[in-house]
Amino acid sequence: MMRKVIKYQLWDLVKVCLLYMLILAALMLLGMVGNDGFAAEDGTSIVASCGMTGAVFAMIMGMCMFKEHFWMCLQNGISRRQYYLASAGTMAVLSVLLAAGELFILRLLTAIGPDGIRIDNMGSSLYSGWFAGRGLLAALAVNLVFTTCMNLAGFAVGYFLAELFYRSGKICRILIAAGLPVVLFVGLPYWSMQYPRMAQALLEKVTWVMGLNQNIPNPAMGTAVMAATALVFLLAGYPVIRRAEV
Amino acid sequence: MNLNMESEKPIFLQIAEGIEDGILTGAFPEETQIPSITEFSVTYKINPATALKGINLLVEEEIIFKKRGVGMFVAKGAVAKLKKKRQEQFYDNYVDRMIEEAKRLGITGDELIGMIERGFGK
Amino acid sequence: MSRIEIKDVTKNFKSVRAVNHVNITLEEGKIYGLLGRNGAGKSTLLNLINSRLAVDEGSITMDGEPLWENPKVNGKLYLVNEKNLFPEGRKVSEIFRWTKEFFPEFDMEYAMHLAELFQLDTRKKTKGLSTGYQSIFKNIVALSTHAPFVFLDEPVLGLDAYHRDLFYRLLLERYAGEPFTLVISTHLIEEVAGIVEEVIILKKGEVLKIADTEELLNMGYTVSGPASLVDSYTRDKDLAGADMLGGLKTAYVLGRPEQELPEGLEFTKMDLQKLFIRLTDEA
Repeated sequence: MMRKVIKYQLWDLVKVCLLYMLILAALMLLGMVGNDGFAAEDGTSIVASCGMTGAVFAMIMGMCMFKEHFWMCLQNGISRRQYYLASAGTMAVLSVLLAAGELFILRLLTAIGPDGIRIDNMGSSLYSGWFAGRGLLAALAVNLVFTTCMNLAGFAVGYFLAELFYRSGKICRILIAAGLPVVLFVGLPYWSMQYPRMAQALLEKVTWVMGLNQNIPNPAMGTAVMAATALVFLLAGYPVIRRAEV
Repeated sequence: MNLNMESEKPIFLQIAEGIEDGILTGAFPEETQIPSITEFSVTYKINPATALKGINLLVEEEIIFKKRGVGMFVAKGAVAKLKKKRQEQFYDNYVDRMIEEAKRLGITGDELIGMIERGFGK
Repeated sequence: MSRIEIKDVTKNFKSVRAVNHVNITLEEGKIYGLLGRNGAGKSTLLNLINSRLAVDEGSITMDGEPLWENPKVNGKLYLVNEKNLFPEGRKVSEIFRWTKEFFPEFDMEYAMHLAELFQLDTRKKTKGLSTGYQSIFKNIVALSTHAPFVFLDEPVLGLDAYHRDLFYRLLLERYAGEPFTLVISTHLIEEVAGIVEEVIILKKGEVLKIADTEELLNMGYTVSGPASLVDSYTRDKDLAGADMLGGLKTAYVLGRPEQELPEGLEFTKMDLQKLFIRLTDEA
């Protein structure tokens, strides 16, 4: 039964994902045009980077897919537990596919573009020190794993937020919807200005755990952090919907 | 056959009597098949159990018999049986009530007989 | 023989007790009518049985298996109510296809045939359907699943007379061909009176009465005639109410009439609608 739910969710989301891939490719292509880029350590010239778009897209999809799929499953007599496990499976599959798609686009564009250019994603730009000089296969594999985990984290966070929203009353929803952006974009910067030493210390901890604090940055650590984030939010999400009603 | 939901008579009884009427008028000849429970149920919008109850009444009286896997049929001699039954009920169902109404309207016994003779003379 | 046992089920919404210690058994292959006024708890009860809501007290089981969060009962129940849980942007044909995925016994041919009879365009998205066609589409899905227990909450909401009639006939045809348990929740008592085998009446979240339809219809009778005659006849009787039009009085009497009925009065079956109103009167 869970396989059927995954099948349904994938069928439902495949068009959106393809559309996203097309738009991403188009935007990256545009970004390459007439762009001299800036020099990277390995001698190539970085013309574009898609950064975290994959993870952000995953988060938005996670937020949007929750309620509709939950209701479809309830209508068809699927238990909440079956639905949740299947959703986790769907998110895992999509994370891999999105990561693979992203890498494919980047590779393709690099190949068809002028010599000596480089297009990054989040993984290859954060850990460029590690990627420099690696063989193609190793680089792709490591990047794939890292990006997959990052996407999954995005999914899990988005999904979790959607669940909270679903189960909250009006006041809670306003608190989340308004509070979250305020804390992130106003509160955090203000706090780091007021307490620069604490902010600095925090930043150092974050860069360290992501494996960025070394001579050669360590993508394994970053991957672990992403995977852990995904796991935490996935685990936290189940109790929220265990008794969710319609 | 018209079902009257408002009548005091239970639906299943109305179904049974409706089939009886059909047999007597020749709409359902002896040894031919009558409509299925499903058909009765759908046509009159009643629960199949109700239709079944009515038909079982007739099966008990040996007016209808069921052929397994085929359907329900009017028994041989059903017409004669029904006529006899209805003749026995004729006084209660018709005569009694006619006399009551006649009394209500002040029609005498002789006048009533005169009317009956007129009716048969037609 | 499968059956669903609803034991001592209670459900509260904030300070309101929507369902109060309800005990009901739903047998295999019977058509039930779930009647009650607005807010009596019918929809809540159906939602509880189908795990859309969780019980606060009590249990709902099928052959001993709890229905809540139990994959073992996948495919055994199906509920449609006014809330559209189907994705709005999806076409009817797609919903059919996915229902078949989750309910392997779903009869696609039958569903398409029914759609044709109702002139439902299966290429339409569910959000593009009128209220009536929303009901029609959901009813078609429910009838096509071949689930042994099907629950329809106000299935004829928004349906015109033609479609209502068609719906009841198709329902009976399907039921007669292969009996399943059907629970219809409705206000339109007169329409379902003939179809339903057993009636469950809810009042303020409690079971007021469970009876065969025949039993219910025999609970009383109507007497009408000149007011004075009616009054003297009903002097020693239990009344459910009365209507007066000029000198003509109609009294609704509880109980059974005597064998010998007095002259001048007309006796007819108790009006189910009136009986229902009297029974569920919250005064």
